[in-house]
Amino acid sequence: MPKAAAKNRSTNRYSVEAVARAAQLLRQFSRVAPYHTAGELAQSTGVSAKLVQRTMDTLRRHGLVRTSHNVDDGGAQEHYRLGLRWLQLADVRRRQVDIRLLALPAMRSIRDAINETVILSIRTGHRRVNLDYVESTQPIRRLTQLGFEVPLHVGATGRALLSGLSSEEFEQYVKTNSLAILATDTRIAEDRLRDEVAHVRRAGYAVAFREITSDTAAVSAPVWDHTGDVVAAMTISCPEDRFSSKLKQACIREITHAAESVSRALGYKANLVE
Amino acid sequence: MPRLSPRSAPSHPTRSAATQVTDGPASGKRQRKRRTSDVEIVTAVDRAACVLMAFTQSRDFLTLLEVAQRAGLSKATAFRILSTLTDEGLVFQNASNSTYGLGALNLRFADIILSDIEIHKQARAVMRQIRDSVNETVVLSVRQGADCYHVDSFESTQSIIHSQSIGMPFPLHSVLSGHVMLANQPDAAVDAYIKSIPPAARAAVARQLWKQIKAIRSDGYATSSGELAGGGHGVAVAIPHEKYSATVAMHISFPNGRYTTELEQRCIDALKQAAGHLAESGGH
Repeated sequence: MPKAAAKNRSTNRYSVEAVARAAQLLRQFSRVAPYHTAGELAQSTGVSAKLVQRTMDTLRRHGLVRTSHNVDDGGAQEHYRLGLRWLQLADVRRRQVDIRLLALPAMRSIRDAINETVILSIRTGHRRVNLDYVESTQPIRRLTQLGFEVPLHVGATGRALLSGLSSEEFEQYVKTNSLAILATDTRIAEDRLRDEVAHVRRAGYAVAFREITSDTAAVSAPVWDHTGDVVAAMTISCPEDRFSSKLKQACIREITHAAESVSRALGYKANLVE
Repeated sequence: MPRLSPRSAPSHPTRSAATQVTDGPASGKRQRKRRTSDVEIVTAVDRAACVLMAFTQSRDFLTLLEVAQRAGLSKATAFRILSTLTDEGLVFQNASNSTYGLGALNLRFADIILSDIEIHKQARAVMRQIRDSVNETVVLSVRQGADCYHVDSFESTQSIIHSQSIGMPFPLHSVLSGHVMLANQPDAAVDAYIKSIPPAARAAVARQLWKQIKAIRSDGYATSSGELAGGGHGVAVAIPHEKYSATVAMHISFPNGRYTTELEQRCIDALKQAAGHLAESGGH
């Protein structure tokens, strides 16, 4: 039974059937099923085996499909796999779509909804740096700087970024950094940091008070890309005295939703459907 | 309007040369088949592939006209194909200025390919560590036939870096990773590879290649100083495991301006350590 068409396809009078069919065939490949015979593709899509072969051969000329011989139950058979050219196309796509481009509209929406400052940050080694921000329009608001490097153990943003480290990398971090919190002139305990990072992994966000400056609160969520790596964090930051329980809930809701949509645009969990 | 069929990848000597395919009245709905050598192709799909490739020359978004010109199509045909590709998620259109870019589905396909490379997951973790310690670009490459493909990389965070072309075929002899892959093959296989090079270039390539291979087999790594594809300085190692040594390689690449013998040695040490680590864990 052919898979259901995308919602636009049947209503798009400019649609080219052969191209739509080729895309349908390509979508049969997945992480759990990275190779198929022509027969399997014909069966799962309803396209004739002959047309499957012609389409695959056309794609192969461009390096978009490759073949291998695998020994299956039916003996040695020719299998199709996605061609390595997709790596080139994916690389172009990644360079075309800067994370700022994807994140800024979401950040503006948050600012429009709750009118607090939203910051986009990335990790650089054991520090993080702010890439961009959208400021609250309230007279008393969080001001921020770009390009200023801050240690990862400080603040909600740092926790969100730390959640992307493997356990070895995390241990390496706590071993080589002093864990001092300058705003309060204290240190954060290793165990507490570990717990908070675990919380980010479970709940998808971090909350912190008074760690960067003495009167701010922040909620931060990690952003993942198609490889499942944490590539950035999005943070709402505001004066602590506005940070009511109601605002806190709103921030959590807004920031996790935004981070998820940016992650999806970066290809995160694109395979979730299978 | 006569249209050339797409350029075949530069490295594969046995692929058919570009053939002339005459364009008839464009009709997206009617699918036409053309005979080219022994293979029947589906014209519309062939064109769609050309449209996708139009985006690979630069990272800019493209206008409809630019796509049409680069893909060698009429605007009307390009529009229909872009429209279909947009529905499928392979292309997306910028709402604000109606230019086109590649869609997220390309990322998913790349992810499927990478997860199908057995050693990729471990290699990636190791590559990031290397990049974090030397802060230069680290690249993972695999061999497919007579070509080397750079499949994944971790880039240096410095402002001037040596960027590597991902997902494009390079003849094995033209890239450092290709050299280490060849070095791990028996001499007969290297000879066979050399025979596949066009006669005009063969002697020079053979000379340089055997010299490199000898050095690699004794040192365990390869270095270059700008003479290979893409320039820059590089250090490459293969994964010292029977299963991967001729097919998977890792290299670090940095601009000539940052070259020091000290940096090169750090790269050599980092790669050798990483490769050994991968050989152990990739052994099952």
